[in-house]
Amino acid sequence: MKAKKLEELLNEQELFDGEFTQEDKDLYQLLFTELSDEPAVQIPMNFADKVVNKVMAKATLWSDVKLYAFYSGFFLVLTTLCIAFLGFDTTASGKQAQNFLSGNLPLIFTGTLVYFVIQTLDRVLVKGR
Amino acid sequence: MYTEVELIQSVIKGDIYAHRRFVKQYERLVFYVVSKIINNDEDVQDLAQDIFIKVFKNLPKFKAESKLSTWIGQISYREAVNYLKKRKRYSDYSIDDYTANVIKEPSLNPEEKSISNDRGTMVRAAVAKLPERYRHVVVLYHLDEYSYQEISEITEMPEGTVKSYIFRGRKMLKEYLSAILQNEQL
Repeated sequence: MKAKKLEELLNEQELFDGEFTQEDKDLYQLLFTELSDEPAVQIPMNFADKVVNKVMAKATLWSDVKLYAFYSGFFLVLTTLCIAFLGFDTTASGKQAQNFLSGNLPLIFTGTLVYFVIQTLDRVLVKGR
Repeated sequence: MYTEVELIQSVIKGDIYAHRRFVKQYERLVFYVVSKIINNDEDVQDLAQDIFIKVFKNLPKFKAESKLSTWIGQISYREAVNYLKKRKRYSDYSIDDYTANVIKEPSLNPEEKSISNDRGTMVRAAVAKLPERYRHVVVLYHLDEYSYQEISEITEMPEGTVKSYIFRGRKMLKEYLSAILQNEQL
């Protein structure tokens, strides 16, 4: 610690404590010197890489979630449009197809959701991204 | 070489190199603040990672009203204190309790006796015995990184309180050292 800085700290503390004895001064000198001479903190060499990997994993996961959500939504909209389109088909096979799709809509929805969850879990647990 | 503004902008844009550079630049500060509040090395490392993630997330909101190091110090301090509170290890007992239990206590435990020969270890042991708030402001001040006003921003205590805690904390440390040294001479 620089002598000037030490002197400043001692003067400042003396103003707070009142007049120092020589013993007080020696003790504060020891204290200030040791406080400013703290051992360096131990930081792992790869700490920055660990943080960056974690940040990138989070960013990738979020972009994947958005992508899967987009495709799941797109698939559901497409299915709904198919049902609506088949509504105009008055033939027996058209009606049958429409009934099949609308009757199985909860199943289609669940299937899409399961696909979305599996893909996300695969990213996180298996590929570790 | 990045300036501080360029570094912030590059991090916000998602530049991986800038992220790494940012961590390298401020890791010592984050580790120092956190390790002075939390003693467990493993917890310090985990928390330091979470702090950087929080810093990156909130970086677009950084208004440059204070120094970037003050803002990072503020986040580190809050996160470390919250971490202790969650684990109910945060004690903020009064100065009177401290003086009654530590400073006025003339006898030293065997561990303190064995370390009293090493002045640096002795001072660190004394600092560790300070009440939480006193310890935090004293170590932040002697990091030589922050002014009283910046410590006030980091700890969200009025500047006058920060100064008072620093001076009183140092006085407590001086009395503690005096007690140990007197005991040594007996």
